Amino acid sequence: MAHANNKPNPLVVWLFTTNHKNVGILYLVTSLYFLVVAGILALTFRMQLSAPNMVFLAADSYNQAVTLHGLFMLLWVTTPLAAAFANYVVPIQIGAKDMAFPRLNALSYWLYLASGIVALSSFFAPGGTADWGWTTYAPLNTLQYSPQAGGSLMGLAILLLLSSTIVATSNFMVTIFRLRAPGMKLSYLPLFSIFWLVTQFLLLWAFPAFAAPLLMLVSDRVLGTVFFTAAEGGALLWDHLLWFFGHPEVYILVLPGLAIAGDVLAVFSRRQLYAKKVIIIAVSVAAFLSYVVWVHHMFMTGIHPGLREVFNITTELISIPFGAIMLSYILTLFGGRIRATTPFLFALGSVILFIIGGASGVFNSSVALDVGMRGTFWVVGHFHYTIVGGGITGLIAGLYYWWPKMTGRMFSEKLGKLHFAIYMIGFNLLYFPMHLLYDMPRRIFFYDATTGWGPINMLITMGSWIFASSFIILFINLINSLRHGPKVGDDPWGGANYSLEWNVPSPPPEFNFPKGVPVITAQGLEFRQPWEIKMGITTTGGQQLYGTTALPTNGGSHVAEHGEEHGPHLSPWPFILSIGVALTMIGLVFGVPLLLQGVVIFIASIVGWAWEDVKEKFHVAIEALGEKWPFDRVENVPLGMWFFLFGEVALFGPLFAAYFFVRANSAYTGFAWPLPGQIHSTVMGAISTIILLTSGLATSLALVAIKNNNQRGLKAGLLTAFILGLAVLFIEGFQWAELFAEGYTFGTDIAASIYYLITGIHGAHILAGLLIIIYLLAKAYKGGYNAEKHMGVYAFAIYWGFVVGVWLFTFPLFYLI
Amino acid sequence: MREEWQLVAIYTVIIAALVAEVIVGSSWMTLGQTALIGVLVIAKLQAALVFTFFMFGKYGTRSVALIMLISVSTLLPLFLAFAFSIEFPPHAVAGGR
Amino acid sequence: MAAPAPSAEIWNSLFMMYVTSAVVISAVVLAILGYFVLRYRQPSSSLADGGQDEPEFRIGAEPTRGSAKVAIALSVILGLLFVGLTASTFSAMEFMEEIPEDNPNALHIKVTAFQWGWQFTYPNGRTITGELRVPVNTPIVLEITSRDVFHTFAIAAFKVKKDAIPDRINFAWFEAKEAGEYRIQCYELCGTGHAKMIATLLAMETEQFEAWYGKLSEEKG
Repeated sequence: MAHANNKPNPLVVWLFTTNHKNVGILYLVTSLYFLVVAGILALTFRMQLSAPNMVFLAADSYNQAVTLHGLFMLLWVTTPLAAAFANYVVPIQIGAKDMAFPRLNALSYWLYLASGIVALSSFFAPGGTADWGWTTYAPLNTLQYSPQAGGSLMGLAILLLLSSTIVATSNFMVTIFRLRAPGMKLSYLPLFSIFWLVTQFLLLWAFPAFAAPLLMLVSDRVLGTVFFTAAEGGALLWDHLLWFFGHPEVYILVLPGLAIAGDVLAVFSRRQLYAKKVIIIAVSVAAFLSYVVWVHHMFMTGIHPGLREVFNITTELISIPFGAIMLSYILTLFGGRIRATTPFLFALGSVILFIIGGASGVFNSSVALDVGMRGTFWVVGHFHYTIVGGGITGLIAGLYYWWPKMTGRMFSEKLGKLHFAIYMIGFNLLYFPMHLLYDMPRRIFFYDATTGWGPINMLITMGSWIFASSFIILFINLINSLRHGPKVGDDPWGGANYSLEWNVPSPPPEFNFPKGVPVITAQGLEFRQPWEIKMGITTTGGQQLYGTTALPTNGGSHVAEHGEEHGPHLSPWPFILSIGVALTMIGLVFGVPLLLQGVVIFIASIVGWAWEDVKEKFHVAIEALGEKWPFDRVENVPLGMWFFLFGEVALFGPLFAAYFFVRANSAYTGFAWPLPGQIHSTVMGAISTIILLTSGLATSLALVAIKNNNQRGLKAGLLTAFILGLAVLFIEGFQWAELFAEGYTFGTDIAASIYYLITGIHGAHILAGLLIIIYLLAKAYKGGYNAEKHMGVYAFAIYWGFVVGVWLFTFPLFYLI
Repeated sequence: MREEWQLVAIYTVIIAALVAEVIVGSSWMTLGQTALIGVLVIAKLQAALVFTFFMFGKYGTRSVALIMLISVSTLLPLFLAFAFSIEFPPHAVAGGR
Repeated sequence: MAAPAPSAEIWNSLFMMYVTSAVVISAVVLAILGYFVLRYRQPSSSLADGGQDEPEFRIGAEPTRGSAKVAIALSVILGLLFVGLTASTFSAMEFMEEIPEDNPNALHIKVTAFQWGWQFTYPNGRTITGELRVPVNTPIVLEITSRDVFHTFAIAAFKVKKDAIPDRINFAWFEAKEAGEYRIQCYELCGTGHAKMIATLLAMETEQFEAWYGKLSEEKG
């Protein structure tokens, strides 16, 4: 696919690619591999459950299998599979040549793969891997009850995955908001791109919120803090933070698949989507609601009844937007001319199964019925109907739908329909009977014959085999088509009028649109040459008809044009950096030599990447000339930084919420929270605050200087900020050392734990900021910035302001009150 | 030069707020709960100034400010839920570790 | 069906109410979906006919199809349904959670979960592991906590369930209407012994219980 200037070796292409389509295919292959791994794990524990008194897996193997199945399916399979399609088609659907930040896109993939490898390697750690179920309830997840190192490694692997995701999210946000083709309004996009954008917002706030409790968990297990062993934190702290992430996560899993189902239903019935605006509003409402329903996972924890009633109602409300979406999908078919192709059938299956899953979900919203349902197989059946039935089935529809686009070959319809038939039979045999087991606890590896659960479980296990075998047909069909499938043209399905990807060759060339820049006018889709767009000619009449965006006039800024010469679409650093991170993490458990190699590779790759940038060796400048609403005035790099920081808010917010929880709790548990000034010197804290604020001022002045092309001012400002930042780190380190010398360590009490965690994470942010300043200074000394070109400095100023802002809360909470 | 002086002025205001914050915070013995609220309010004002001027939020479109606002408000339910998980039911006196 | 406890009885009737509405609604919706698919299905061969089959959609066209009335109607219908369901849920919840603390007949028992089993402490201070004996037709108030990790106490047959959380006490209550043996089981993964974290609930006729309890109190501990 990557037609670089002088065809490099294919291995180099795949390892170093920064092309969104290649990255998409890497995501696809990897997530399908993890799907098989996690699926096989499920088959093993279904075997164990097939009959009473079964001896197939021991309790600990069973628990590990259940845990890894859950974690992999949630984190390493479903969203990455959606990300595979998103990488491949979203840039095309919006009319862009690539993602906004191609190297970061590659980095997201390689970090994802690295995290998956670290997670799998935890299996081989002494004592095995995490065995506490994917929900990882405290305090079972602490060292006291689960001492195996593999558990800590799994925690690190998830953190790595989360960092991969936040990078990808910022990238997709900028791409979808700012790289759209001329005239391509957000509402013109197919549902997949729209829902993917909504999904990014969910990821943006949910995943960092999960990083917060995971950081606490890993620091409990590695450093010896006491978040989940102390009475002030403990089970409820974990529960709230986990499910605060956990419910948005459900929609993260489901929305992409449902979106594909909607697009496919419309394309194959030749009808407009019914009430597309209602669908868009509904999905936004559902996304918003997903942040205020999580307590329905905690109805039995004995928290305030009023709180539970509120969450009962919010949870029920969820079914209104989803009901609206489902009804719109169904009405889309009304009066259509339906082709029941394989993608259509899977889209249909997705809708049917999601409706059933939605109906069983209403039960779980009931705070009274939940007394019976919680922790039983009813819940297992329900969420598999929604996530697998609605989500994965939709993604499989997408796999069939876009397969000819990705490969240029058509699969066998006959095998596809066979797959669908067996898939639906297997699915319903597997998950429907689970609803009948509404008294059987989840995650038990054993039950005796007196329970009467045997026959239904046998049925479920048989269903699992049928369901699994349907995937063999899928893989045979797809692999076979690569060689023997008939070649297809641009538009095998008749979707050319629906979305842009069916207007380009299959597979698309490196920069997607060989015929020119796609322009959406009142007459429909046209292809124009870049110079025509620069002149404002978008229709034959020569008038600028499209869009809300003023044309770019500042030719001096880094606005690249379509058709401009690009450097090779390759960079080795994302790949090498991920190897470094993975080795470092695996080395933490498997030995120091690996760890050291990892650290060296990691540092080398950061230097290499920065150097590639300072020398401006990588230029695949991706800038569309089209719609940028509502971020017309924020350039790509600062906007990417903004989105990253919105995610950071969702990381620090839960940390401060945890502070609030443990501190308020201590009034009840009898723990005496240290008085102001008792442990941390207010004076020292105030000095740190002043220094940090001054460095913030210096950074801002540096930015103002370079805006006026004042090179000396830029360098002076950055240098000052660097020195002051370093000073703050030293003061912090000094305070830590002093406290340690006094015997006030990570595990002294809950107040110490939260102090060290928040100041530690904040310190890490300062350190990262200092590294960025070094990079900026290097580039500044090479004359890399001027009045037009200083977005790197701008982005850093935003970042540094955020670091200062977080400290403004850290200081009073620990030093003052 | 106008922008530079504006930034310096804002910096001065934040430092002044810091002084006020320390004074309010240190008098917690007399002010009690009020000191706590006062300190947090001052911190929020400082953060708003940092967002607007040091992070150049004013140059971004309104959309940036809006999304920042939503980011912060997603945390509100979390704080509320935590609050309602503390007071009910009474904590264990016996049977705990 | 005859329920062995009042909590199970109210749960069952609530469950049937939900089942009825869920089945009716999804059946109607799925029937409409099925009808549309069958009614508007074309032979797959017509896919190749290109120009003769102009689709209705076009890139860049304002979405015009659909009326807001449908969405509003749907929301109203679902909203009304939910008012009904929520009202029943809340009244059931009120009954299930109204701890009969002031009832002089109520028997207060402390439940301590541990890896892996259940301990029951009676008002006389005696602790029994693995078996809970209670008299029928008497409200039993449970104070549930855990000694180590997060467990969930449940009597599935009675629809009684509450998390057993270290450092916290949760309350639950039940009343057995018929003498017999029931299963107490843990419903939250709590380690390798989770599946076998089972205790027996023995609901006894009042006289038998009195006799047994009297003997228990006299035993030297």
